[in-house]
Amino acid sequence: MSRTVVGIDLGTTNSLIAVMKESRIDVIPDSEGRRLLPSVVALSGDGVQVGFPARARLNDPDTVVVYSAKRLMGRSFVEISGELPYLAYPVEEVRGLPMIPDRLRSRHLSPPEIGALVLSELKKRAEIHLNAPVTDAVITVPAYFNDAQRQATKDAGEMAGLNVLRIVNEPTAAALAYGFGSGKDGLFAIYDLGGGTFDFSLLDIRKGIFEVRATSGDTHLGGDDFDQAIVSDWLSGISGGNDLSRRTEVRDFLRKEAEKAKIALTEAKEIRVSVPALGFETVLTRDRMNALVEPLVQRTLVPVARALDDAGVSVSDIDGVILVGGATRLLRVKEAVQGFFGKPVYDQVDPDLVVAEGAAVQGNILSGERKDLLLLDVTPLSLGIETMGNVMSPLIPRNTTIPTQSKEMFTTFQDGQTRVDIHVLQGERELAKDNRSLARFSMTEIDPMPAGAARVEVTFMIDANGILDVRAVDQRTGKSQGILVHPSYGLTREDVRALIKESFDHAKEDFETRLLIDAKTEAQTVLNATRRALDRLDDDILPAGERLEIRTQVTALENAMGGSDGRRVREETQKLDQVTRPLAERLMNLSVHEALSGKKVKGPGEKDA
Amino acid sequence: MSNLTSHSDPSLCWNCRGSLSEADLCTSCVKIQPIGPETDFFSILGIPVRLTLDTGILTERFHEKSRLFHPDYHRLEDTREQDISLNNASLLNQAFKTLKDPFDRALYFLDLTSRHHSPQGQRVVLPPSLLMEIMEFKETLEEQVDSGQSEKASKTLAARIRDVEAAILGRMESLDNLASVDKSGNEETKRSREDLTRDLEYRKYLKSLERDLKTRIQAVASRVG
Repeated sequence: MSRTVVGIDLGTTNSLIAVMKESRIDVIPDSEGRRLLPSVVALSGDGVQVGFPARARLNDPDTVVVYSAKRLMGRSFVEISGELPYLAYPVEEVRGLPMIPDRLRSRHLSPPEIGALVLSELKKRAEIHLNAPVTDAVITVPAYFNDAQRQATKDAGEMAGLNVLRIVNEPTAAALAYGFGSGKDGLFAIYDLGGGTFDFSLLDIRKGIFEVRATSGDTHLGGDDFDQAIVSDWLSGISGGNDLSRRTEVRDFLRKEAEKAKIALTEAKEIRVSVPALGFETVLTRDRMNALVEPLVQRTLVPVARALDDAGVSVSDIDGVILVGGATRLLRVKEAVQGFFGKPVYDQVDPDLVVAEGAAVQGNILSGERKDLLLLDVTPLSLGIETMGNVMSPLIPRNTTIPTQSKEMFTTFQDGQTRVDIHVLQGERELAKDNRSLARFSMTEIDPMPAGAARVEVTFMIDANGILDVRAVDQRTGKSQGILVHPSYGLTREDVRALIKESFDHAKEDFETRLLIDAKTEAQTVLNATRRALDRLDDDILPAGERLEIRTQVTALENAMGGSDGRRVREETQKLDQVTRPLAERLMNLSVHEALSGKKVKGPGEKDA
Repeated sequence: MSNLTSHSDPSLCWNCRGSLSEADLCTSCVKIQPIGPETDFFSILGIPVRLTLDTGILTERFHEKSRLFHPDYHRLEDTREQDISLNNASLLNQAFKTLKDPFDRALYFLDLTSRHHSPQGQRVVLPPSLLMEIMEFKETLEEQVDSGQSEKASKTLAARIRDVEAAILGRMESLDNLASVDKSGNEETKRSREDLTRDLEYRKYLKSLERDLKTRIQAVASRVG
């Protein structure tokens, strides 16, 4: 039996959820027909809100509104310090990790927890749409995400109650969405320019096998930089622009204007921009904007060249280019890509939806429903260990097809040594300190023996998600070795387990709250109707004994509604329903009777004429 | 993974204990079978142990076996099968990566078929005269780069690499021919193997020289710019 596996695009700005059923891909909308969900979480006195209501509170001074949390995923506080000037919400350092303080509930939320809130919202949306529980999911990440960032994304999924079957790279997902593999074989480039990141992949497609040849990117290059370039140009033209540029709200305001102008210029040749508050007025032409963004567009070609070099192919070998990401809507970007590759450009699928759609296709593959497609992805960064002299010694080079493994033999260098430490790194630099530290592993329980006599074989395995797993076997005994893991920039497995438990507890709390609200609403409706009946019906329809019985139950329900036990409210409502049932039946019979004889009886809800 | 190595009898299916007619898949219970730790890369891909091969066929075999082993097709099965799938797929990827590149393939072949096969590979020492020649070649190229003749240096080096690669490919073919007439062990085969080993090592030196030169050219260019 096959299961439904949903595909999720957990984006920096917006997130989406899609599902594939009978060869049709559905990007699931909310109750109001909106398919995008803003990746925004609001923490206020009213509770925690996600999506559109959260985004609507962006300017509410009493609410902490968390956005772009994806930029913080799986990274250390030191690493993200450069992002802080662009974030209007507080981020604090807790055990070296960036955390968002939620003072109202006296807790700190980690970036994966913020991600989990967004994912829960999407999960709920899918469950309503499919009318079935949803647990199995595929979540996309930028191809350039390292091990810690992938693990953090997976953690977020688990905290949201999802069984994350696969972490898949966004550009590869996009290629799946284009339905290649059905006759259109060849070597394709995927140019993915989003709001904040640039991803590039080279994909060999042959008879349904999608083999990634190379991937590269720039984690700090995207449409947001285009906006900033326009803003900087404007500020340089305003007197006192330098002082203004230091004020976040001014920059933020101008950035929104720049974004609007940028979008308008895909249609118009020029656009008038005026900001009376700053006494600023200008005309931005398409040519001027193109000139401003040109250095950024050229910068995207650097990783492109690197990927071509890694794969050992030249531009002329490429059969087509797939455009992904909102920033590829910019005409200059399309032109530059077309000019550089000189090959057909694929941009028919909405660049906002294409990644989620591809994730749904991958979900369909994992559900066992289709065996015609298979994705062979690569690891974007070299994996290595720190060796003598603080240098990085690579074990698995970048762009190696995953899953992959590397076995290394370790020994002791002192007599009686019982423990060996391994520092695992990811990156392309010579010195250990210039690469990303992934984790420190300690092999413990080594039997004391002369230096060099111990032989522990360590297997570094990168799975199909690009996530590292390390196992050690003592070669003398053949037994697996105890390994202690200290992740450098992430939550430990224990942290994640604790948070998953906590999120279940919260889920129970949330459930109780909703139950109470629903029960009270229902009770209020019944109470209103009953009160009207008591007021308006004569003794001949409602005898005094029965009236007293109903009155007593009304009081009992009112008491229950004063409390916070939703189940009691529901019980008392049901009891009231029971004691009023004979009356309701009598009224019904009467009304039928009267209707047949052409007369009319006053219903409990009707006013006296 | 540890339970894979303790697999008792490789001729029986780990699941139904039936005897296996093919190595990858049990025909009676349709379970994939673990690739043993001693299985060589050629056998993993199901091709004969040879120095020259058709990369089209190699790729086809790789895709076929990927469809059998890849974890995406075993995601909903139990832990044991997921483990086998992960281990097999990672070995398959390693095998394909090694055999796809003719020079990596040659190194692997020489090691696999040598009498002192070791997983770490063989240590090769170039004759002193050749090492001296490489040193002089390196100095000449570096002088050219420093005196603004980067393009000339790159071209000279590229030509040298092309020559040695052509020689290697020729030696690979003739070794395969020798193996088809004689079952190895004779003097000619031994000499050919030594020549191939030396050329591969020589190429390795040239490739590392290429990397260093690239860095040097970039450094010079940035000084000028």
